[in-house]
Amino acid sequence: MQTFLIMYAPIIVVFLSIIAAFWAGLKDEKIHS
Amino acid sequence: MTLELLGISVLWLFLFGYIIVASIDFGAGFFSAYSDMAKKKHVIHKIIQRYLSPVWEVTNVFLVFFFVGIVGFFPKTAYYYGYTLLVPVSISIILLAIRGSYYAFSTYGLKDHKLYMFLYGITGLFIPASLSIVLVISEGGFVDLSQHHPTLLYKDLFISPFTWSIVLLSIVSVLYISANFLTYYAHEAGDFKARDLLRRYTVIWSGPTILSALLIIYQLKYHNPEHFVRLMDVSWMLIGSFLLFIFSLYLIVKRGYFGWSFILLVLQYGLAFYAYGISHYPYLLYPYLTIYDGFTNETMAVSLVIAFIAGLFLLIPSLYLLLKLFLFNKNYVKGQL
Repeated sequence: MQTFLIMYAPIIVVFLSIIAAFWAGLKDEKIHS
Repeated sequence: MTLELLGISVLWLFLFGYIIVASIDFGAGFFSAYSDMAKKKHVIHKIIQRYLSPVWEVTNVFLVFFFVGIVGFFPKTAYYYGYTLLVPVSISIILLAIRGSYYAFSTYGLKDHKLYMFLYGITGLFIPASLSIVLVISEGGFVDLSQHHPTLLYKDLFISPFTWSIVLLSIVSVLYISANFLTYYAHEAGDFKARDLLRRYTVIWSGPTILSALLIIYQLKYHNPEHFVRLMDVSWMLIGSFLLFIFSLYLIVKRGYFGWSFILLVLQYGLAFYAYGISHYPYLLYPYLTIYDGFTNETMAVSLVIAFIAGLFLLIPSLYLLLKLFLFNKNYVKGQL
């Protein structure tokens, strides 16, 4: 568990930030309007 | 300065040039497809096409120079990397072929075909991802020399968090560099709708970019402690790079000086890239190959240095003319040429 947290948890955080960025770009109604 | 050091310095400069120019190109392709998905193609497609048409011919010159140079200066890299990169670089070449064919098909065939557009966008992310594997392998731990030739340890490579950190950084960097440049380009073209959309993309992708850069430093500590220690010796360059990132982003957020923002971004990546390169010295492949192992003979080295510097003198004026005659020609960017 500790190994997982040290090695893989940070990469999951970065991966989620990429998903969020991808999604945020698609859901931009202000610019669309 | 020794010839070995001069050789690797010239090559590193070419590689940096490729990273910046190719990132803009790859990212522009992705945003073109992405804007289609977001139903905003009408906003930025025109500006991207204006940019891509003259540039795509130049991009790969940098990469070709680098490949020719690395084998010319350091022939042993062909032995070590030739075996290990057979699959990853073959994938890159196939993706480059798909990407190259898009230009032909979209120009002479069906316009705005969804499949072409999708392939074009996706290769813009997969090519840098597959090429970045070279940097991962160079850190050592993925090459087995117990057989007659170097063998790539695919399973270790695939499950390593360090591999994925570099792949993620390469992808988000492409998007961040490209969005930043295209914001400036749209501003110069007077296309403010496109500029606002691309500016937003720049801000959105800045977060993942800095997070993934920090992630690599963190992962390097576990994957290659020796390199990590050497990287910390030049930590002032990394701090400088971070400050430049903040300034560059600030200028984008404040909606002013888009050109300066891009210059700061290039300096930001330059500092980080050179910090990485300097700390990697003298290894080309940890721990087997350094720049001093099997360096080419002196006559060849001197000829290559002269040829490369002459190449730079040819390439820089060509790029300047390209920028002057097309990219920043006011009539061209506004579509009046």
